[in-house]
Amino acid sequence: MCTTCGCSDHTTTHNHDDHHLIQVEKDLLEKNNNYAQMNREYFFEHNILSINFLSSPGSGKTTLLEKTIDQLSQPLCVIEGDQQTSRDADRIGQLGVPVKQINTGKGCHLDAHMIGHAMEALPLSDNGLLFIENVGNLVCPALFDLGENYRVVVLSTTEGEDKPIKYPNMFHSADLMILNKSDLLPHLEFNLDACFDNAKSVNPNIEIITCSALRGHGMQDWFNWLEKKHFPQKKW
Amino acid sequence: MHEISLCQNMRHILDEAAQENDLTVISKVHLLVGDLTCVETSALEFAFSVCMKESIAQEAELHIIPVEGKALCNQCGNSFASKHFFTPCPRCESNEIQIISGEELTIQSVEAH
Repeated sequence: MCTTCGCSDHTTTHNHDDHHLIQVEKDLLEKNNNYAQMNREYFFEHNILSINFLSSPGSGKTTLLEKTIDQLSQPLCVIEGDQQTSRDADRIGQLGVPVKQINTGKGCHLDAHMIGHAMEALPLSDNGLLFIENVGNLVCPALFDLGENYRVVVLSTTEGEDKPIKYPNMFHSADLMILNKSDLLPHLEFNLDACFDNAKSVNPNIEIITCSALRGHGMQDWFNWLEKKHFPQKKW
Repeated sequence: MHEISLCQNMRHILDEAAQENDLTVISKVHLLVGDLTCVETSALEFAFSVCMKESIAQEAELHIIPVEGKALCNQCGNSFASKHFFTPCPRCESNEIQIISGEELTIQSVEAH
């Protein structure tokens, strides 16, 4: 039986008295996913560790990148996504790292096609890294695979411990949660255990690192995580 | 408003389907939308009306077919309905669950006159 209109025709394309029914069975994200797969293959072939950083605006993603770049000796490129301005790209560019700003305009997320074009404009090196700072938004970017090796969601202590269950799609899809601005914990009523429980409840496999990118506390755990994730592809 | 991007993709898919099947007008689009996707159906309906203007589906009705979220417990193998990513297994209370449906965003079929 045709499950859409309830008729008894078994063919995928069939006629009714007043309409013609055509089975399509296509994912709305198929095009994006195809571009993401092309990016993923490029990363694999060139042994590039690519990381998609996601968070709400103001969680400290750019500061985290700045402090990370300071510590890395490997070749690195950065893609910055924002609705407007090149302020983040300017900050990263001052560190001497190749950076490409994508302004999404009215768009609320980066997609895999944008990343592919940004990659063409960057001198990506074999065995290097690519950091992608997504648009600050805990909803839309969760849907769009960029082909990245890992998704890192940055949550800051000032946002409250319930963000993982308020925005479950984002935390469900992340490999690592970085709880940033830990230096502010003494001044906040932030329940660390509840935050971790909330993150684990939407994603039992999520890894968690607590740090202050600005003050340096916990950053070694993050550097260790990065190094560990790059090893399985090839030694660097 | 990622719903706009999704509807732009939908327009592209509908154009392709129309070309492949020699359609001139699409009158209805049957779309599977999983309960666990971060898609707002009212926003999707609005975006659909905007994005389909001057397309083969400009007069089309969008029929959204909700797909219930379902999870499989990795501990005891129980499968159960879940409205969230964080529903523990009702049988063994484990959080080690795997989503097996509810993340669909699929054009199932179209109707054309």
